[in-house]
Amino acid sequence: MKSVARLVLAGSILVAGPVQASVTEQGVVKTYGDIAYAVFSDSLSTAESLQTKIDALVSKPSQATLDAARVAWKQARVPYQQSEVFRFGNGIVDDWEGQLNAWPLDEGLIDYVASSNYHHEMGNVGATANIIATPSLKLGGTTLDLSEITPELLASLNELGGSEANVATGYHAIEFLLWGQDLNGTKPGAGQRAYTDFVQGKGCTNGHCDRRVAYLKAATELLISDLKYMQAQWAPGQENYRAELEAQKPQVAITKALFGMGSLALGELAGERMKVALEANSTEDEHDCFSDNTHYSHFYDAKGIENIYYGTYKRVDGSVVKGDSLAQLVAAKNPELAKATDQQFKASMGSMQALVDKAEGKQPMKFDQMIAEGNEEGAELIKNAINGLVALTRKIEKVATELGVENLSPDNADHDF
Amino acid sequence: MARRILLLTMLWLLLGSCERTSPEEKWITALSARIEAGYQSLHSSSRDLNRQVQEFCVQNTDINVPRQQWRQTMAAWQDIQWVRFGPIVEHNDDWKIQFWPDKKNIVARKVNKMLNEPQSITVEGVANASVVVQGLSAVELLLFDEPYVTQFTSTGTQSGDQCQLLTAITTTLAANTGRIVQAWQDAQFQAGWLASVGQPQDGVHANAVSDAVGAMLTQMEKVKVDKLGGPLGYKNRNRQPNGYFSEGWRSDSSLDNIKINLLAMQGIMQNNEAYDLRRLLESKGNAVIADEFQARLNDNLALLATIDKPLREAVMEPGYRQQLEDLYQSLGALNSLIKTKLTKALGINLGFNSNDGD
Repeated sequence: MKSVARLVLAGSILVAGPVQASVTEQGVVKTYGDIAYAVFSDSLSTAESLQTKIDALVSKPSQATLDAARVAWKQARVPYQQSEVFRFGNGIVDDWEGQLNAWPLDEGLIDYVASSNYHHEMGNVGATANIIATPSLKLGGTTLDLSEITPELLASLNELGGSEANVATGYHAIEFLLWGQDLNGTKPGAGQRAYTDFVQGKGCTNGHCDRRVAYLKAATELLISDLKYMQAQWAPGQENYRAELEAQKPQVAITKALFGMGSLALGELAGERMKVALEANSTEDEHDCFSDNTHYSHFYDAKGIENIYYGTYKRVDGSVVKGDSLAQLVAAKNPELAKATDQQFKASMGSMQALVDKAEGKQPMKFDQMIAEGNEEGAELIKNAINGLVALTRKIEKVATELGVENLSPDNADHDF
Repeated sequence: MARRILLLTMLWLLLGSCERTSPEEKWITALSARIEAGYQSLHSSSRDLNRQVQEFCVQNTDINVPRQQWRQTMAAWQDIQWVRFGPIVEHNDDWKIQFWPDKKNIVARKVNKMLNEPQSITVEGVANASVVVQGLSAVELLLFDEPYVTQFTSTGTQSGDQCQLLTAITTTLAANTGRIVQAWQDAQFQAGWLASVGQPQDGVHANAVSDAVGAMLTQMEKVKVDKLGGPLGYKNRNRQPNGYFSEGWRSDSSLDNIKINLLAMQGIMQNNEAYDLRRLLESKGNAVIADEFQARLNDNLALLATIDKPLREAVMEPGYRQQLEDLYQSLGALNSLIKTKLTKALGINLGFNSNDGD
């Protein structure tokens, strides 16, 4: 209700004429919270749709039900990736997201892998644990009881044996269960798991279909309860993280917003998720490596950054959340910078869109093909995307300075484990 | 001391004719010469490595000779590794010299891929391959990792595929480092870099002083978080150590690397032969920051010297935990000083750096 009131208000200001003066820092912080709430709500609703499709798959395994679950997984990624901009600064999101989106993973922890085509982290004692095939796991001196696969058990198995590549939960664990390993390397094609891996009794392939189904259901259940938790933290008018954030000076939230935008653009998206994969020609460093959905995941990460800057988010139902924005604050203070930032957003989003167009085009070239050694066209596309994000980060820094955010890398040297 | 005064006097006389040169410009000019010397040392070491690898392969000499030269080349790289600006970052040449961290052992995978396709083992093949196989990390694998070493010795003659690959990689490394020297010397780059000293500090324009100080901070954060925190397991929630996450686990060079990284910082702050960062700070009445910086560096060097085992092993032994934890904290104190007092004393703001993701 509150957000509707604001929308009307924002609309009337727009009509009234010289708008910029009435845009406030408080308003920007409110929009930031509104978008967070909407994007986590959408992540939840799309995860619930995914759960419905997974229930259909496990009750009646077929190519059709598997395909439907895969489509639902890809749809669930659309809002979730747009939520990643709330990482890097909002501690509550940073502490929580690993259970949902940790990556890259040593998938041999979860299920069977091709022994000749599986490259895991060095020194990872859990790299071939195969939880699905193993009701009781001996690890070092202890024996773990894995007989009943529950959301709690899976959560406890994350980072098993101390390795962060042991990812038992979240989107990528579910992705692996729906697609299986992508054994095509840098050649066309995603994972090829057969629906018969979920058939109960006779017809089950690769064994342990009951436990595979239990795993898939438990992982999905955990994803949903995690998303519910985060949605509640951003609900308006509640005693929650958002209320704490809004109770502080607006500069606190604005600093977090800008820090999240810059860190996601530069260190995470341009660096970890694109540059490493490209320069090392390493498919192990591809983000959605089982499903070959990486281009969309990258695009929606960047889209999330754009959402925060312009204070607008298009929900999965097509409605739009909109309010006071950083862009308006900048336009009021420095129109020239606002214009230059607009241009950079257009250019940067354009080069992200080019990744999508190529991957979804008539002769599709997915991200794992783009990073192949000697693929100059693919390398060029990714380099453009990286350069666009780097340039965008520089503009975000400039915006921060303009808005009075002095130190974008806050000193936490003794606390940032 | 007398020597220092003499040098200062000479410098003052030299600069007398161009007294409009700002302290920042003097520092950047001297720093540039220092970086050039560092790159040259890396290049000449790489050429020696290339030569010694060929001798090892053709004349069947002791593997310890190229190993020792590899250590020297790695040391030259570690001394200049902090320079994360300028031509070296433009073509990812830094990754071509060394690919790390490499938690999934991509280096072994890519080297094996080349060994399995012997026709690809040429200088051109290496130059067109993944950056992972072009530099010191791949050479370390071949010269120090047991199965590869065994392969060298078991064949009797060392002229096999591994030798061809070793030669091709070190040839590429020598060429790449040579190109880096040239790119750094490029007059246009030098003029632009020096001119950037006067650029506004606004997060859009390059500025040599903030480039340099930002790179110092990035490097020391990498030392703390990746080189030490990585093997200690501090990047994971349940903090399990893993010796394979140390930088030079194959050659046990991890602690040497950290020491050279610290000494490189010391060389930037204090270099009696040239206009150093201490002098820049003195010019701003902030000599106390230079003293504090040196004190923090000394803390770190002293703590480092107490660790008498390779890092790969030390992180796995509870007996070393306290020393390593102390070093980790002490690195944090140095970084904190750079981030706050040093940047403030120099009047600069640091923007995002590539460590800000996760």
